Amino acid sequence: MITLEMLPLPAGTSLVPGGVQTVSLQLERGEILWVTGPAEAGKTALLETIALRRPVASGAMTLLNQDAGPRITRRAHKLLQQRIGYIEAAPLFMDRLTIADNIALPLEMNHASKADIRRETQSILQWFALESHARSYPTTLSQTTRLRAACARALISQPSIILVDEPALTLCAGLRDHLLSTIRGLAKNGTTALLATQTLPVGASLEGEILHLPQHKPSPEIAGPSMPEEGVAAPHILVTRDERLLP
Amino acid sequence: MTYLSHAAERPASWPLLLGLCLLSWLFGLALSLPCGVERAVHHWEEQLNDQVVIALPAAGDEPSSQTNKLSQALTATFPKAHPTLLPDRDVTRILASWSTPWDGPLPRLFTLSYHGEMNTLTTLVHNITPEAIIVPPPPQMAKLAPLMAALRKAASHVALAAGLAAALVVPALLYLAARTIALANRQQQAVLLSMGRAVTTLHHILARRMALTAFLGSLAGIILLLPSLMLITSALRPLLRLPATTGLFPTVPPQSFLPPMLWGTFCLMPFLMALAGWGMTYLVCVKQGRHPS
Repeated sequence: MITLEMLPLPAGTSLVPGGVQTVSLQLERGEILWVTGPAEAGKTALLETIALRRPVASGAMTLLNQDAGPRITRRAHKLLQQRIGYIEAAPLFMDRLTIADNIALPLEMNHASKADIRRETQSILQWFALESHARSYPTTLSQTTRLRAACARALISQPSIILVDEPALTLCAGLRDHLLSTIRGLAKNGTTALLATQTLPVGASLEGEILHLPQHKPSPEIAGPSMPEEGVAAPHILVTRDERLLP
Repeated sequence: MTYLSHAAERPASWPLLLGLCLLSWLFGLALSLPCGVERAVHHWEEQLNDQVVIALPAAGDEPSSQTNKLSQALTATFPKAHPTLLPDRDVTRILASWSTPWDGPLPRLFTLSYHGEMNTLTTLVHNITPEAIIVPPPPQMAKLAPLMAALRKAASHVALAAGLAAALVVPALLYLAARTIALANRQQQAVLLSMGRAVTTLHHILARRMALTAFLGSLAGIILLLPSLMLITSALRPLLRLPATTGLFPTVPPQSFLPPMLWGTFCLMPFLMALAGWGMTYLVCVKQGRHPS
């Protein structure tokens, strides 16, 4: 269902020498894959590549038994994108449409009947507890609510592949549990899911494989300082009394 | 598509409306100016006396052979000058205006509209009738011709400058408006592309809106042009020797000074602007879709 062969992915130079790692993986229908790793490990890049938001320069990628590698046609690109639900870190909405209309947009684009659109939208709004925000506009909502709406929009058309970036899994435990139970239900029906997070969530019932990025271990001489350690002097812009702000 | 139509952002359209209104008005004036000046100059030229009079000595009641010979020679040499042998009634009237009542036998008078060299005409006439007197027209044209040429040239230059300015500013204005619309709808386009949906429908919606705005702006400019032309014609009424004004509007509308083709151009202008606006918006949106910034 998803096959990646020697797919180059960008990563932080502190984690991967040269800043590029190659990833190979194979996922079948109904499988769930947790992609873990520190910041700049290439988790979001992997999701964006599979979501066809990032061009594939080399290697090979097959999605839903169709070639999605460097020579993908425009038509195949569009058709595959329509079958992928990507819940990104900062989801974009159409600001002049209400949350309900934004969620209904994939169905509207598929020329579904008005009755179907109304029924499905109502159902998914209730599932993600968004009924009270149905008539609100995206710009007036909190980040968590926007993420819930993004989840609803990504899942309403029952995609074959679901990609979830970290914020939807870490911002709110309630949303995470709700989303995971939904994904488990969809996976039983054949949906493949990739979930990206720095660390595996504690307390959630986890299913599926785990892929840790980067796949190359950083060499000690290349690995530079990533986070300030204890004993590091404060930057000039912080006066003495502000040092408590440092981690 | 209703959803997309609602979703599309509508940046303020009044700058485009106002800009196209003024540019259409300016463009219309620029096109009208040379035509109006040409008609006015032609009108003045018609009013001028350009008749050359050739007087032959009196030779009885019947035209002499010399008179016939001269008439044939003039017609053959200057066919466009329309040489005419005046009847006695007109000769009497002309002579009366020149001097005291004429008692003797009437001379023969030829008139012709001649704009060439007087020496050429004189030589031709004197070869046939050496005693003929040639009376050239008053030197009005000699004085007015440079003025009229300068007027024509100035009108052409002003029209060219205004027309070029309008022709350059209109695409720039349309591009800016199209770019504003495309940028305002960048997010909408990104959402559609991320879903793997065609953005053509959104582009068509945006292009249609732009075309409507361009059409209305240009139409307003053309509507504004009509009273402007009437006011200008009215102000120049004494200079153009037009009939006196009756009522609010001049009795002679500006239509009479402008060719029908120009009025056709004015009528087409809103449609052309709409087409240009539609095409510009569509191209800019497509380009933005290919190279999102």
